[in-house]
Amino acid sequence: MSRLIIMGGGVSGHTAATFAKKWLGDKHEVIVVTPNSQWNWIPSNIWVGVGQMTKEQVTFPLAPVYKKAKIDYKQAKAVSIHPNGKADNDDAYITIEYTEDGKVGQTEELGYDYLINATGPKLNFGATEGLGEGSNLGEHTVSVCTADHAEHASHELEKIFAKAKAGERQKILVGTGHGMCTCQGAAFEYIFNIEHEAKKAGVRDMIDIKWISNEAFLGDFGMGGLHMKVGGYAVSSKLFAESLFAERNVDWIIGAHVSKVEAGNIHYELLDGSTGEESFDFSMLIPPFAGVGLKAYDKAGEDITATIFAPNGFMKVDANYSAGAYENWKASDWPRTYQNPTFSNMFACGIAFAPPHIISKPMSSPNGTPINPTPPRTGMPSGIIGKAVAHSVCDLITKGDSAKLHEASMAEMGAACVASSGKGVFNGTAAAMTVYPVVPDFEKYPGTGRDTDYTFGEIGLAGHWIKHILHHLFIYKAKVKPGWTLIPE
Amino acid sequence: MIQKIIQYPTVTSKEFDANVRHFDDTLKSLIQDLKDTIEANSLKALSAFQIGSPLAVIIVKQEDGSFLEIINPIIVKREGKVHPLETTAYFPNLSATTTRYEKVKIMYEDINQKQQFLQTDGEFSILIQRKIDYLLGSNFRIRLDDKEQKLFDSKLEYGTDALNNDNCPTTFKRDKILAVIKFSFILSIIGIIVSFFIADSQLPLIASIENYLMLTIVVLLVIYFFYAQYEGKQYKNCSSCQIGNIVGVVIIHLTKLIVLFIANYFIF
Repeated sequence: MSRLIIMGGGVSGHTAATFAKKWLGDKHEVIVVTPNSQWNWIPSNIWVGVGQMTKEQVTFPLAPVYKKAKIDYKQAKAVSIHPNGKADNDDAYITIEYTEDGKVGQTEELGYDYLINATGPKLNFGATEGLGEGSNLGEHTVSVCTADHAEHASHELEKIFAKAKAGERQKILVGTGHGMCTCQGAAFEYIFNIEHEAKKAGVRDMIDIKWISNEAFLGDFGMGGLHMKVGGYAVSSKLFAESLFAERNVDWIIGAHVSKVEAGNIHYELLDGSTGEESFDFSMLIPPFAGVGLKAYDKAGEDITATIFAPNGFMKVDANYSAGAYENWKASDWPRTYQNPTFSNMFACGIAFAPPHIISKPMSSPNGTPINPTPPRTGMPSGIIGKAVAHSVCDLITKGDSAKLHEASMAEMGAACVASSGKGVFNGTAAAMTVYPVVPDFEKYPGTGRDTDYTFGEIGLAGHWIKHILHHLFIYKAKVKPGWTLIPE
Repeated sequence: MIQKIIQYPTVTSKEFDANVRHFDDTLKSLIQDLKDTIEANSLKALSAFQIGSPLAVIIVKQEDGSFLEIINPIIVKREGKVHPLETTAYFPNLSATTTRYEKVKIMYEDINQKQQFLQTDGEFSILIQRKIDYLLGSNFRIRLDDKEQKLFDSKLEYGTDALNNDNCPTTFKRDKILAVIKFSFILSIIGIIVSFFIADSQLPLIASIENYLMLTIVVLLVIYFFYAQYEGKQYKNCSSCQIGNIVGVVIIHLTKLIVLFIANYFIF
């Protein structure tokens, strides 16, 4: 019997765990180690953040699902990896620290044959002064990164709407809280859902809404932009986003690195090196992501974290980390199997793998401050990679070390994304986008690096319906209900 | 080499907004072509997209006769609004009143790949914005308000479909099926209303017609569902929403049909 440990139970880790157990059956052991007791369909946190869904609608308890799936579940956080075992034992193991009620702080060593790192990111609020401490959200802004954060954001937003209704002019600032953030799409969804709700509440004319982002242009979305349809014609997502912002009367600041957050005020630096301040009554700023801080040790107890993890804390995989300057970037820089180059029984998926470089064109201010989106590894690619990694591990277990590894390169993968811009059965809207490939392949598609026939998007009511249907479908799938494998990642 | 400037009604390429990654001889050749074409046509500026290149390159002829090479430009700051009357090479002999920023600051790279900034205002600012629109696969038409756009479109000799680069057409053949379905619904509703004013002996005839109409709607919906998907595949870049739209339309019509069926059930 082999033992597979999956660190993390988010979209990627949960996908990997459920498929691995399905394929391995009872002959092998699958263990999930995650500090969370609830599974969260993160894309719908946006609707929690504007009071259109409850926390309970976007989460469910993991324990019963894993019990049904016969997956061993440890509500604990992974602390360290020991791939060569310890002095008196060669068996690889990880150490975990329980977060479950009644066992908080207890530690345990768990031996493994295969390890999948799907921890997701550390929400690095501490990277920006005043945005928070470490991974904890600060007092001046809100977040929609977790269901709890979103619930809190909803309550704060209610207060803003109440003040606006009482005739007090309010200012809302939404975007990214650092020059190296990713997940602009989530902030994009949130700002337009706020705008939509403000209109519904009849307070839109009393609220100024402003966007601030590290994107070099509106519509970059961390992917270097894409083609969208505006008024029936194909144009760059720059024009699409600009039209949308203008149409909804949302002002914007782009190419911004938020350097400091205070009560009701932020400080930022722009791509031209100039600095500025922006006041707010309510602000949701996405934090930058970092690795969760896992450590790695060799047999003698020496720290080998730098061997396994990149400096940003994400796990090294089969990517080309020495691609160099932008003009040298290639599709082949991106990982295919997500296997750690040093330890072949170790994989990473979802946000936990270290990308070779960003996707958008790198930018920095004349002061040397990098201001560009980091690559998105969430949503559809995250699930696809999780499944591919699980497939590889299952084949290694059942067919032996010579088994061919499964591949899921983001440079050969298409992805669909539906970004809500307002919830409502008849008046909701969402931008439905497909991108192929996610990472531009400049050799295969000279010019934009993408197949323009399949890199396209449009905004409309149908997009909202798709988003709402996906909410129910993916929660159904994650609950491992009958037919769950038929629902694609 | 002087290149041909793409003009309406030539459909523009879907390949646009490509960052320049290699500052090599190919780029230098493109820049020279742009300069030659500007000189030959006595233009103030030209974007690479206007001569069929997807690369983000703009060449501006300055007042002293020298050329400014703007590569990978992005607008980093903007200020104020103006409504200039613009002309552009893509639409010869046509003009329109657009909405532009009064001042823009752009960040770009020069031919030596050095990051540069340029603060612009007045006519120059409008010119730069117009050229950037081309790099993004568009033209000044996108900067017109609805009223001005309608007026402008009415002046286009070949209509707006000529601007459409293999995207979704504005009308589909499948819409004709929807028109027949709509007509059938109207007839059914008229039948229901009429049933309140006619003799009981004539009710079975109306009921029969109603049944045939409902059956026709069902058959047409099935045909619509499959044909719409077939037609959608002819325009693969239409959008990912096509299936959603088709399913949505069918669901809406089925809901109407159920209401119609219930009304018929209780009336006849």
